[in-house]
Amino acid sequence: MEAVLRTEHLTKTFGNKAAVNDVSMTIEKGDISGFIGKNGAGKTTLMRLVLNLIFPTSGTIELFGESKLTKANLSRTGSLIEAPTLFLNCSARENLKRFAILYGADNNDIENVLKEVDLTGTGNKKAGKFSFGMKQRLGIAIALLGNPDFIILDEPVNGLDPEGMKEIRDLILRLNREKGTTFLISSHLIDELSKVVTKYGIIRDGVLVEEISAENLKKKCTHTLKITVDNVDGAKALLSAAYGNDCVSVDGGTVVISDHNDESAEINKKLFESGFSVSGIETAATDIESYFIEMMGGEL
Amino acid sequence: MGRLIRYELRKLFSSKLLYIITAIFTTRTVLQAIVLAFIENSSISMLVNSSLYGFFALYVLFVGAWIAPTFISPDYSSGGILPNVVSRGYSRIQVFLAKYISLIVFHVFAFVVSSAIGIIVGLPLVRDMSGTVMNSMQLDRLLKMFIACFATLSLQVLFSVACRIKSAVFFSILSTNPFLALIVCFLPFFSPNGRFIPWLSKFIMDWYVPFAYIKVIISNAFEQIGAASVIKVDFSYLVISSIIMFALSFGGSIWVVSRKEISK
Repeated sequence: MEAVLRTEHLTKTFGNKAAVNDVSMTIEKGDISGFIGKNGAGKTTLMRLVLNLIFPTSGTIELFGESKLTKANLSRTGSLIEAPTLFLNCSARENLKRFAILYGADNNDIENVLKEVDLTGTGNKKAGKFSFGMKQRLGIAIALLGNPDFIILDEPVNGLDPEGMKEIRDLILRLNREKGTTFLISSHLIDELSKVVTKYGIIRDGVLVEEISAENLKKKCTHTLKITVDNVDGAKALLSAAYGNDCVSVDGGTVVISDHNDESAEINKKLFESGFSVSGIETAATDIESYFIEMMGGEL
Repeated sequence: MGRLIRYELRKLFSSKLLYIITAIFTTRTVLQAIVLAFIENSSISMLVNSSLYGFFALYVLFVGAWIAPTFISPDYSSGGILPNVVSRGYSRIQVFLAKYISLIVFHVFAFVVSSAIGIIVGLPLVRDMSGTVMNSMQLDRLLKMFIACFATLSLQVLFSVACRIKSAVFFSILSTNPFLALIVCFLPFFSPNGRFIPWLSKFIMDWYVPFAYIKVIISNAFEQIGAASVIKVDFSYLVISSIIMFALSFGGSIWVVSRKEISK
């Protein structure tokens, strides 16, 4: 698989503090990679480094196979970092027209991206009078202009209502599916992120503590039933025969069964009919959020 | 680079400020042309000279210090538009050069429009249409004014890329402040012994281009009213000092922008 972005031992220090510390990562073509970390963890700094907005203290960045950030590879990259930077005294269309000159886009592109972010009806209204969500949409439209192959979005759904979030999510998935666009997205909204990303990067204090695919994460975040029963071994044998060995285990005085939480009544009935005395069933879940919080060593 | 210049020019010509400043320059040249109607021996030479020189006088005294900071500084300040440009692969130096070129276009536009309108309005009003429009000395001085204006602009650009907008405006005004220049010019009169300060004053007025430039404007004004002997202007340093100031300011700006990190 072709790597769109590869960093090797990337470090950025401000004074004595390492905002990004020895980060080595790879984003492959077609990935929707999500960055997760607390405020100040280094997500935005890492994105700024990739976009040549700030310079690395050490390490390398390889973009589209080139070891230097050049016009050739950066022009294939669209971005929205933190708050969108707009011409506040211009309409959405005029904003896009100005950037279209730089990005080599034409009027059709402008109309398309306006449609994509649902800003066609804003007419001559100045961007300065837009709501935060509308500004965010315009920022995303600018990132999409010129059909970039790689799009970096920092907190893209900030300020959007649930409907707006869904539209942006659908847009990301559609561009990824139809055009093969690669995304790097950061967000505090883990639930929202989990609906689109194929790969996660967890950043803590500037260090990339884990890169994990969405598939592997799903495996780690299983939902379990903990059953307190008089005969643990007998109950394990019974449930293993019914649901398979892989999802049944014993933890102290309880039988643990994964991924069958919605069948608790049936399991209880099965145990009761087989003569077991069930004194308690509790559900337990390691959800994605709990997993990330644990990885980051505290609250988000 | 072509796209960057087109982008900057689109921004520039969509800006109300361009037209407001051009209107201010034009109003001045038109008023001056009207004044010529009341001068008994007004000539075509006076009209052309006042229209052309007037730009420089108004530029330094009132308007110039605002232009570069207003057009350049916001892009280099927090929340500026620069991330959208640099992140698409345009180098910081290319971005700066495009801004610089568009700023020159701005000045040429304001100069040409205001001078042309002033001359057109003044033509029917001047009494004497004969004689030379501009002699070689006046032309030479005009060219030197251009060079000095260019150097002054470069200094203002340096402040604009290095500072946030308010500081840029402050330093820009301070650096080209005519009242400060007058104080420096007249320091010899306040000197207790009359020896050291005259030398320092002359040195600053000769080599610090914005002040030398003001001296030229003042001397030109005295010449217009027939009192040329009041201020003797030594033009010999103006070109070389302008070149030095341009090189330092332009080089300084390139140095600043090429190292500028866009962290907010």
